[in-house]
Amino acid sequence: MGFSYSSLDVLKPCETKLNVEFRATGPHFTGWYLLDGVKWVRISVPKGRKPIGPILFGQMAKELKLDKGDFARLLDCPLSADEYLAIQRRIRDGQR
Amino acid sequence: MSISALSMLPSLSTAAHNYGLSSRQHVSSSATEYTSLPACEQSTALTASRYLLQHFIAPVPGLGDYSAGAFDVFVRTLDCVGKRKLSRPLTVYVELDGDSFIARTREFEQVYGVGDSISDSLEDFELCLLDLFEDLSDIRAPYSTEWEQVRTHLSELMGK
Repeated sequence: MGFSYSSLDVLKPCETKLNVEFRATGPHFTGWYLLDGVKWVRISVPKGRKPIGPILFGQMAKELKLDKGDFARLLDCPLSADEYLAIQRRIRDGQR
Repeated sequence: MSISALSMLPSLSTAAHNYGLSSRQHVSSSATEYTSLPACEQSTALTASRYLLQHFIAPVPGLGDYSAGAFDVFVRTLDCVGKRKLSRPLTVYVELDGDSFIARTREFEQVYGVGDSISDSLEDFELCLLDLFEDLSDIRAPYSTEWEQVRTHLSELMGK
């Protein structure tokens, strides 16, 4: 898991499903996921086309507050935007 | 300090464990990758910061005689990032990750740097830390409590 993904594989679903707007001015592509109008998740994706290593895969999953399985599902399509939103609301409400 | 000398320091293995590095994160490598060690030590031009490079050796069950030819993590202490002097040293550790290296710190788990070499990953890490610092100065939208804390922590580290 995670060995066959590239940066592009992460950027696309984040943009299309999670409406993350990436900026390219920094060393990485970075963008925010807003949860109910609040900057909740910051995702940072390296520039370049190299395959994502297993540690980086876990790092990105953590940034998105997902376990590796759900992160893979996000990239592979089964995890919908609504499902992601529900996960994040659960995490947020669990913190209160 | 030579590799053999470092491998005789048991406390380094303990420190690696304290960084939360589980055995599954340990990767095997060929002996040729030891050659990268002196190269890293020489790359002091990367920043003006103090360069502390150590080599952790830890036996990993199931991987045979791991201490004979593998590295786990390189550790470097940063005193400054770019031109900005830090209020205290920041410890960064670098691991081999597939075809690349990844540099991270326990203090800011949201930041990482990647590169084809240890030096590249450290350089990327510094840029990413500065980028996060700038990013968090944008207050057009509210931040979660977690990010407010990161901003406070980062500002304190950056001496603001």
